[in-house]
Amino acid sequence: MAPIDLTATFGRSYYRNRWPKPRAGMGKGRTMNRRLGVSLLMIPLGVGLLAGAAGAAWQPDKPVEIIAPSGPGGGWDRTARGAQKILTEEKLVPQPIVVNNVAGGSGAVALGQVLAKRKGDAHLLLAMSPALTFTLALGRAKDPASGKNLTFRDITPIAAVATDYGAIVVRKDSPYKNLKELLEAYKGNPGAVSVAGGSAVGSQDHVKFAKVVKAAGLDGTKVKYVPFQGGGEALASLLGGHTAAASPDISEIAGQVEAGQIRVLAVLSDQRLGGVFKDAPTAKEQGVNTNYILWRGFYAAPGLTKEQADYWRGTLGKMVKTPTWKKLATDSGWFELFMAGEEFNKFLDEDLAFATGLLKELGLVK
Amino acid sequence: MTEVFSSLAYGFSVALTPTNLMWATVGSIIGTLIGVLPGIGPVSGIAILIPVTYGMNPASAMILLTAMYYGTMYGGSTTSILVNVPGEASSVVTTLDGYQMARQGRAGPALAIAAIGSFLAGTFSIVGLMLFAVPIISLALRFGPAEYFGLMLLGLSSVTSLAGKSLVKALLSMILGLVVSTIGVDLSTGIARYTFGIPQLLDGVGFLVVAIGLFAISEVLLAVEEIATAKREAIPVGRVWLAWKDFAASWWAMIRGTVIGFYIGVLPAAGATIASFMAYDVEKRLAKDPSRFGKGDIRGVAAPESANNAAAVGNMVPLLTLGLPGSSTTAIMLGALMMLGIQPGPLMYQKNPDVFWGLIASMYLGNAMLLILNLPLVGLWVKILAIPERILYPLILGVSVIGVYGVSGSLTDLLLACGFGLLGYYMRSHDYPVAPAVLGVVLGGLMEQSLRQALVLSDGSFWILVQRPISLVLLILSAVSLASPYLIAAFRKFQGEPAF
Repeated sequence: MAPIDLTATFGRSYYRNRWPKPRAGMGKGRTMNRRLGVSLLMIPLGVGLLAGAAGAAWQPDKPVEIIAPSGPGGGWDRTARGAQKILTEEKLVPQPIVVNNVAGGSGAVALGQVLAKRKGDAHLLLAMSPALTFTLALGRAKDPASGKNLTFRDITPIAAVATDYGAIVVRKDSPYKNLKELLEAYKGNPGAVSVAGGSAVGSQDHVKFAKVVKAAGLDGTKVKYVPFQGGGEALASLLGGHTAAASPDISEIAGQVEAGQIRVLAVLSDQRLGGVFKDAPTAKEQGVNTNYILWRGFYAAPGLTKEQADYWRGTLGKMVKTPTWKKLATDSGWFELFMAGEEFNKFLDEDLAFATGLLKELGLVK
Repeated sequence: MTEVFSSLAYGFSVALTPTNLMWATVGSIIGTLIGVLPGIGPVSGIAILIPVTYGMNPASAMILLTAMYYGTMYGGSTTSILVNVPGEASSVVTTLDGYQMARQGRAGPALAIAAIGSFLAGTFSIVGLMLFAVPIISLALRFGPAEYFGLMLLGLSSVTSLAGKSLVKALLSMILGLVVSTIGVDLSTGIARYTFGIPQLLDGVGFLVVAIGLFAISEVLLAVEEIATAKREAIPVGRVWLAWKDFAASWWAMIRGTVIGFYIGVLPAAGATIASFMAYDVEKRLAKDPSRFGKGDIRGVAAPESANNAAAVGNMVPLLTLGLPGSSTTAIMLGALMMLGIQPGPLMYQKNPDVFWGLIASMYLGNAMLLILNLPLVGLWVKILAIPERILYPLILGVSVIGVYGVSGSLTDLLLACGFGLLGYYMRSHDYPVAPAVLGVVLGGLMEQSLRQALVLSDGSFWILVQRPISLVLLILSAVSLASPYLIAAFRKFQGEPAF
C-alpha cells in the first residue's frame, strides 16, 4: 500500500511541521510536538484506514511509535533509538518512526499505559529486557482492570534483537583466581564474599550471582549482596577494595578488563566471547552449568493479529541482519542474538518462572 | 610534565580546527539555554544531542557534548538569581543570596560573578584534572560506603547555614526532604516504599519536581499574593556591571569553592549539588560576618557557582581515568562515547589520544567561550526584570510546568510539583526555609543507601563507621558543624556579648 499523503489531508505546512522526514540526526527535542501529532493524526486516519489494512500481508499504514520505557540514555532508550535509526535508514518500515520515553518503575509505567489505552495498537513497539522480567516477577506491574500480576502472556512479545551477558569479576589483586576458588570461599563462609551490583536487592545483579551460586549446588539465599545506584558505583566500590566481587554486565566492563584492572572469573554466556574477553572462561567451562542472558528486544500491545505480530517479527529479523545494525550493536557492547515467535515466548515464560522462583526463595515475593 | 604540555598542544591542534571550534560554540550556546530553562538539565540535554553525534568524528562529538555540559552549569544560575527559580539542582543554593542581590538591584553583579566564578573554577579544575587525575582518583576510590555516609552527613549538617531565623524550622524542612527521599523502591530490600500502588512513584520523587514546586510555583503564588495586597516592590534592574570591590570580596570564595567542588566532583556518587551546598556552608562559616549571608552576600553566589563548575570537571575524572561514570550525566556521556566506537577506560588516552586531549583542550576553550558568551548576556538577562510582573510570573509558571512535564511526560510529576508548590507557599509564608528540603531530597537517598551498604559489609555492626579513619573524621566534622551555632552562642554569652 502506498504511504498516505498527509498533505492531501492537512495541507503542506502541517505535514512539514509535524512530520519531519526522519533522519539520522533527529533528536528528541520535538517529542512534545510529535506526541501531539500522533494523537491529532490518529483520529481521522485510524477510522479511514482500518478498511484498507485488511489485505493479505499487514504493514504499518500510519506513523509507528517506539516507546523506550526509561529516561533518555539508558539501555532501553538505546535499543529503541537504535531500532528507529536502522529501520528508517534501511527503509524496512514504510512509515516514519518516532521514539518516546515513558520512564518509571522499570517499565511498569509504560506497560500500564499500554494495557490501559493501547490494546490492539499494531503501530506501537516497546523496548524490553530482563529488567521487565523482574518488574513482572516482583509483581510491580498489575492489570489495570483486574489488579492481577501481569505476565508475558498479557503482552505480545515480538523478538530479542541483541544480547549482553552477565559476568562475575574481582579486582586484579584478588586472592580468587577462578570461579571455583570464589565458590569455595563462599561455601566456607558466604559472608566473606561481598558482591557489589548496580541494581536493587532482588533485581538483576543480585540474581545473577545467586543463579551461579545455585547452579554450583550452594545456597543462593546467603549472598552478601551490596546494592549500588548503577553499575559505575558498584565497580568503583570493587576497585576501591570495599567489596570482594561484582556481578556486572559484559558491556559495562570492557574498558577495565582491557586495562587489566579487573579479572573476569566467569562470563555467563554459553560460549566464550571474542575481543577483550577471549581469555575469559565461561562458567560452563568451569563446571558450573549456568548462563545469564541479558537479551534486548521488543514487545507490542496485547491483541495484535497474527499477521501484525508476524510483520514485526519479520521486520526485526531483517533488521538484525543489516551491517548497520551489527555495527550499532557492537558499538553498544552487545552480541548477536535473535529469537522470535514461540521460541522467544517459551524462553520468556521460563525466565519469568525462574526469576519468580528465585525471588520466592529469597523471600522477596510471597 | 613536558609530555603533558606537548600532548595538550596536540589537543589544542585538534580542538582549534574551525569545525571543532564551531561545535564548541554550538554546544556552549545550547548548554547555556538548557541551563537557563528550569527542568531540562544536562542529562536530558546530552540525550537530545546524542542522535546528532551519530556519524560525527568522535573528537568533535565529545567537544560538542562537554561544551554543552559546562554550558548548563553556567546557565543554571541565571534563573536562580533573577527569579528565585533554580535552573539545575546544583544552583539551588545560589538562590539564597543571588535572588536577594537581585531584589536589591544587584542582579548584574550576581550574574557576572557567577560567570566569572564558573570560568575560574572550570579552568583551574581542568589544570587539576590534567595534572592530578591519577593520584586524586586513587584517593577517591578509598571512599567506601562508610565514608560516603560520613560525607552525606557532613553535607546535611550544612543545613545550619541555610537556616534563616530558626534552626528548628530549617531542620523540619530538611526532615521533610529526607522523608520524600524514602519514596520508591528501596535498593537494599527491593521493596516499594510509600508508593501507594502508583507505578509512577516506584522510582521515587525526582529532585526536579520538588525544586520546581517549592521554589518556582510557590514563588509565583507568593508574588500573586504580594501584588494583590500591594506589598511587593518591583525589582529594580540596577547596575549591570561588577565593581572591583565585589570581585575582591569573592576571590577566596571562588578559590575555596573550586577546591571543594573539584574534590567532591571526583568522588563517584557525590556530585555538583552536594559540592555547591558544602561550598556555601564553608564560606558562611569562615566569614567574619555570617549574618550577611542569605541577605545578598556576593560570596554566597561566588562559592556555590564555582563549586558546581569545578564538580562538573571533577566528574570527568572517574570517567576518563577509570571509564566509570560518577553521575547520571557522565553515565550518559559514557554511552555516547561507546556509540562513537570509543571504549572509555584507563587506556583511552593511549588508544584515542585525539579524543582525550582534544577533549581536555576543548574544556579550556569551552570555558573561555562561555565566559565571553555569558558576560554580555548579563545585560540581556537583567532586562528580564523589567518585564511587567503580570507577564513575568505567568511566564515563570509556564516554563516551570514545561520543565516538569516536557522531560518526563508524566502527569503524576506535574501534580506532585503543584502539591509541592502549595506546600512551598505555606512554608515560605511561615518562615520555613525551603532549601533544606531540597538538600534532604538530594542527600537523603544516597545517605541511607551508603549507611545500609556499610552495615551489610560489617554484618550489621555500626562500628564500621568509626573504625575507618576518613569516615570518623567526617562524622566528627558533622557533629561539630551541627553543634557550632550553639557552641558559638554559648561562647559569646560566656564573654558577655549578646548572642547573635
